[in-house]
Amino acid sequence: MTSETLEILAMWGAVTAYAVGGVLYALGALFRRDRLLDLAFWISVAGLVPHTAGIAARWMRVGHGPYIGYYEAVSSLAWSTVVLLGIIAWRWPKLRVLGIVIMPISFLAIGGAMLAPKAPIELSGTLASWWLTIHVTFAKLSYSSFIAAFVIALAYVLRERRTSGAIADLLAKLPDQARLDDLSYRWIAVGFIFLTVMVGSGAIWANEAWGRYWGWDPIETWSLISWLVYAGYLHVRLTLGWHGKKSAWYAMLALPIVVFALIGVPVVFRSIHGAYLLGY
Amino acid sequence: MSGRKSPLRHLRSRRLAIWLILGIGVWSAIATTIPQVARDSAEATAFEARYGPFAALARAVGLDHAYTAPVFLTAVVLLAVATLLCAWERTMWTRRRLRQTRVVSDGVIARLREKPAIIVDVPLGSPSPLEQAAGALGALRLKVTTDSNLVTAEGGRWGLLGSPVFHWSLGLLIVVVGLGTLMRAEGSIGIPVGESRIDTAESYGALDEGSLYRGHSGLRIEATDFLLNYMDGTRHRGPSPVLTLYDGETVLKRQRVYPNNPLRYGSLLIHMGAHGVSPEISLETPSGEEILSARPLVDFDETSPTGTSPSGFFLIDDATGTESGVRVEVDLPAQGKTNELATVSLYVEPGGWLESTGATGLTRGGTLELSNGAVLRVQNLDYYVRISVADDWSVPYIYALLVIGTIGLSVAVVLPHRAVRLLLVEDGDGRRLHVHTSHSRGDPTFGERVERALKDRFCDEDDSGGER
Ligand code: HEM
Repeated sequence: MTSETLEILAMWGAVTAYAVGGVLYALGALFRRDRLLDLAFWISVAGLVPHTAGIAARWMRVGHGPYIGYYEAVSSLAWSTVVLLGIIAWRWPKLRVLGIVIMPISFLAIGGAMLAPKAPIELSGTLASWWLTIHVTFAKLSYSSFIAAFVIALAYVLRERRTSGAIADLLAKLPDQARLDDLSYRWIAVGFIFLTVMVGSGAIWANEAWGRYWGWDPIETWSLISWLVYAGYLHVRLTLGWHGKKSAWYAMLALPIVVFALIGVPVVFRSIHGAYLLGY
Repeated sequence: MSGRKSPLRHLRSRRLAIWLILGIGVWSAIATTIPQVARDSAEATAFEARYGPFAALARAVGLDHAYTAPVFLTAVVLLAVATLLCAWERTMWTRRRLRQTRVVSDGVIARLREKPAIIVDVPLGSPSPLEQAAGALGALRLKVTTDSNLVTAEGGRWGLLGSPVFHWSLGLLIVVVGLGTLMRAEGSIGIPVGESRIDTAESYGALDEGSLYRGHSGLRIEATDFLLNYMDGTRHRGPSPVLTLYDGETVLKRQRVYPNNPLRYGSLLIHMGAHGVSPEISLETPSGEEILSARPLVDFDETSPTGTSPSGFFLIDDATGTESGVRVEVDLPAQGKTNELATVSLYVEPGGWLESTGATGLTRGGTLELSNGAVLRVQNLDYYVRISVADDWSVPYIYALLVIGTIGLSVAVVLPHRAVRLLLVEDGDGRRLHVHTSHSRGDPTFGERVERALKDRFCDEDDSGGER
């Protein structure tokens, strides 16, 4: 079997596991079965095995990490999100149920990636830099952290609204509201550190590659906007004392901005950064 | 001091900081939808025709040159001042906080006695309860100090410094970036391979100088060598020159330059930009004596039938002072940017004594005879490189502030400051521990953890005591 076939098979294995995980999560919630929820979690996390194998096989074949082109970038985002679900569940077992939101997101991401062109894009001279590796690693870490904060904030807001029904029962398994509020904040604070490293290393890399650290290119601008939006979040929380619902809504409304910065901008604007996502 | 409020007070407002941060974000977001180009450019005109009133409004507020517009610059300056003021305020606050946690005032003791947040009963037979409590707090990785009937415990003291360090770095970063931009120059110089150019304003094709730029270095930059596709191990690095930087005849630095591997010297940062063709053309007298040599820079142009755009130079007749232009066209073979099979066409624009029309398809050594008997000869066909030269002293400081700021931020987030104060109260009702906790990030579980640790300590003792 060629490494390319192995990669495709492994990736479909992961797509299947994430899909089954997502469906079992939904069924577990609907029929209020804890066992189903546990199974959903384990199947989802097991999907990481073929997913990791697929990414590794491609890495070895094309000679660079999973960040050049839409397929690689979005599939590795799905990967880091599921890894994050694993970490959250390991640190806070009660939060395992958050997979009900995380798994459909991951499934859509990897599914979308599978539909994109998969031909490897050669790492051009400009892209071949350690700064790129640092830059994309921290981008992934920050986006995954913000997704975690979003999901926890969503759970918070849903629980404020629903006091009965299947979803309320599911949400009842989560830690109490004060703790969710704190966790959502913590993921944003950590994500903000990652985002800072991402923007900073991007600026350094731009200076090394092009001789200017900031050029107000659309993607640079949008990553700065994301950074400012989350700095705003930390400020309203730490200096104006926004907690609970207000803070949760902010965490939820901020996520579309970073998602746009990552995926939307290269599509909408033709920027030099399109090179690594779309390959032009 | 007078009782009047200083205007700086407003800049310390936390709401203002948030409005500025979000305002700059919204401004930048809108700006990405508007072409950031010169007002008289075709793109700007097309945009205006398409989005009439919106485009006019954007132009009126400066959104068409969003990042140099007065509104934007004012907001950034205000944010810098506000951030520095806040950094100062955070520093003072941290200093007070660091002192406070070491000294416990009578007021604090009274509050502990009257209004404890947590109360833990101490079993009757328990020996040295303060030591036990200190042990329990130590197990929470807090640094504990015991003093008669009081225990203070603290963790993440370093964390308190994180926020001031971060805000100082950010404030200074905005200042340094601003100054750096004003004092920076950036431009491109085209150099035929084998030749050199002096770093002065005249050598640049495109040049962007900040209003406070202190002047070019005057150093000489030579394109010593050039490879069309440099291989670094197994990696294609693309077109890559070796550049040499001279001060007079002294070599200051010589290096191959390719993406992510610029030449650095002091505040100069030199990157490979583009390359093109540069034929060497000489003018010879009828007797064969060379009187002039020129290396015009010919750019690649995929839209032109020859694959390049025409270039040229001037010949001046010393006797009459008339000027004639020599147009140089290079015809590239269909594939790629290689000059191996290229040919040169020379056209002399009629002017004064030169009336020849031209010669096409010249290869190395090919000539064009002029009406006065002189000869234009294609001596050589080589490349030129267009290097980008940035002169900016601020870059290392920007890198340093980014690193320090990120460390400050990480310390603030990862090492939150936690403090516990605990008083042993003995009265007619027995012995109790009165406890206050504080957590710089308001973690709701911290108080619970402290309470559980203390209760576990004394409950265990109670249980084991019961069994004995
Ligand atoms: C470029 C502008 C600024 C950015 C990006 C920024 C960012 C941040 C971040 C990320 C935090 C959380 C750090 C932590 O967890 O400790 C924070 C906290 C804070 N900031 Fe700012 N800040 C800026 C300007 C300001 C200004 C102008 C003020 C004052 C009006 C201010 C006052 C505070 C305060 C009081 C806190 C919370 C307490 C603390 O952690 O010290 N910041 N800021």
